[in-house]
Amino acid sequence: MTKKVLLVAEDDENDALLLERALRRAGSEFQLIRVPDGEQAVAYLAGLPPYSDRSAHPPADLLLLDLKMPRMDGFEVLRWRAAQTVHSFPVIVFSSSTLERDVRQAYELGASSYAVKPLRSERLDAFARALIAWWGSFNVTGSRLPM
Amino acid sequence: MSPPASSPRPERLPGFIAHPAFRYGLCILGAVIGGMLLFQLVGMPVFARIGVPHEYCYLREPRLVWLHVITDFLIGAAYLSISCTLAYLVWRSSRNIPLNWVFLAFGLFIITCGFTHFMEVVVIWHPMYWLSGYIKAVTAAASVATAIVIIPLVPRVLRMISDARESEQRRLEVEQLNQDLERFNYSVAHDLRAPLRGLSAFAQILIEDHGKELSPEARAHLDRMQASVTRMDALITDLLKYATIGRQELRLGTVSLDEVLRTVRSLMEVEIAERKAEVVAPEPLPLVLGDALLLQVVFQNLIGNGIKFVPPGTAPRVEISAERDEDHVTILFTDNGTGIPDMARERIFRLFERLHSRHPGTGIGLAITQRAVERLQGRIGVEGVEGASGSRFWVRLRAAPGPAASSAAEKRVG
Repeated sequence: MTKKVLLVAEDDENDALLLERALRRAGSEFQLIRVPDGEQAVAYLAGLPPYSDRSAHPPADLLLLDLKMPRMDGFEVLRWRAAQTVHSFPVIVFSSSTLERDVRQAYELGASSYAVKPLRSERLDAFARALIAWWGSFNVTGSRLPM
Repeated sequence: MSPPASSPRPERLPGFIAHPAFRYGLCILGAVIGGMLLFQLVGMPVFARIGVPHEYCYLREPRLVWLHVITDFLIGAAYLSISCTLAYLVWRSSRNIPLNWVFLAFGLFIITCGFTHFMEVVVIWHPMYWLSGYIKAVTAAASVATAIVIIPLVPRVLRMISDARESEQRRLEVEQLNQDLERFNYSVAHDLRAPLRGLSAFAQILIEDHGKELSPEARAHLDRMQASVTRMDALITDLLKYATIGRQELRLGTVSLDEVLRTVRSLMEVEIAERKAEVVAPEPLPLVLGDALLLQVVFQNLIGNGIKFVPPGTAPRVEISAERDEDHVTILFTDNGTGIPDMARERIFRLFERLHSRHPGTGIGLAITQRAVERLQGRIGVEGVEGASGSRFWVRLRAAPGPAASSAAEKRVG
């Protein structure tokens, strides 16, 4: 079986770097693909240029979505996804915000999960391990059913 | 238990009798009847029939007669309906409509106009010209009075319009401010934390990956840096809580304090166990009118305070009790902590006020608590404990109404 594709929509270089490091340390088998804003996340998910070649840019199994991003923010990405007829991949919102309204809005727009970006790196390591354990292994998506 | 009252204060008379409009109406009716008697006395027989019915003047031409009958009747009915609508408006909002007596005068003017037209219908078949004349006289009195009293109102009405426009403008400004604040909160929540995460994580990476190359002094500096970052993060979290707690939508309803305590206890399980603290409520706690989430904030902060600020070597203990009087509940949080000096008892609820530099804390917790209590339309304070070192926080809230009245109360407040 090919590696699961984890699409990370994250504009902050530090956050992206730290997440990648945490996933690597936790023994991730994800194929990690990062896009720097919501617009590119949508382009990737929809297979639009420059991501239309599916052999080079395989469809995502999981989207890790920051909320505050330039061009198109996380909420807009969720709105776009909700408007699609098929949305077989889960979306985990990964944001700094602890504001109740952000959390509620994310779920209302169809987020599968919401995690607050941890401050301490040991918490980030724990997050990466949990992500791998659940979303990388047990969780089943519409595009890949277990045989 | 008394039955739930439908009106906020009990009255012996039915409500409409107490209403001023009812009394005015009675006076006017009296004046009209008195006027009739006066007319009779001075030789103008109000109920007499004289001459021929008006029909005669219309040449008994049916179409002409019915044209007058129908149109006069419709005009009269419309006038009556308009005055009823006005009366209802005044009735429902006698406190909110300014100048409501002008509405009453105007209503009277319209009613009498209506009766004038009804009389036009009556006299077609019944020649009661004195009565018709008398009603015209009443109409004339009401019309002239209304016409005169509304003239001096012009500047007042103009002022009211400009006031309304001004308050609308202020409302828009407040709305704009609220939106700015909302954006500010959003930006704090999202943007302020990212650099902190960078600082914290890279400091930790330095320790983990390059720890061996660092001198003990350098490591200690990195640890201090980490602690500062953690503190900054706690400050941001608490400030955001403080900023948002006053703003979320709120519906006051019946909340069980026992339930709140149970939830908070499980939320604070780790903290309570770590400090070997004891959190007890010897008696069952009552129901209050409040909001479960805000009450959790209050309980969490006050219990947290109580178990955090204790002299070294003391096992923290917080006792929660409540007293109900009339329609309020006072919740007491008594601790065995270091206590609060008399002078500081007002100050501690202010933002960024801290009593203990040794103890952890952002100085925002009690400000959040006070804000939460204020949103619940309650009050909060602190006092000393007789013969002991600790302090006792009290929170005074409205008691929950009886079970049957709870939904009504919820509506009134929400």
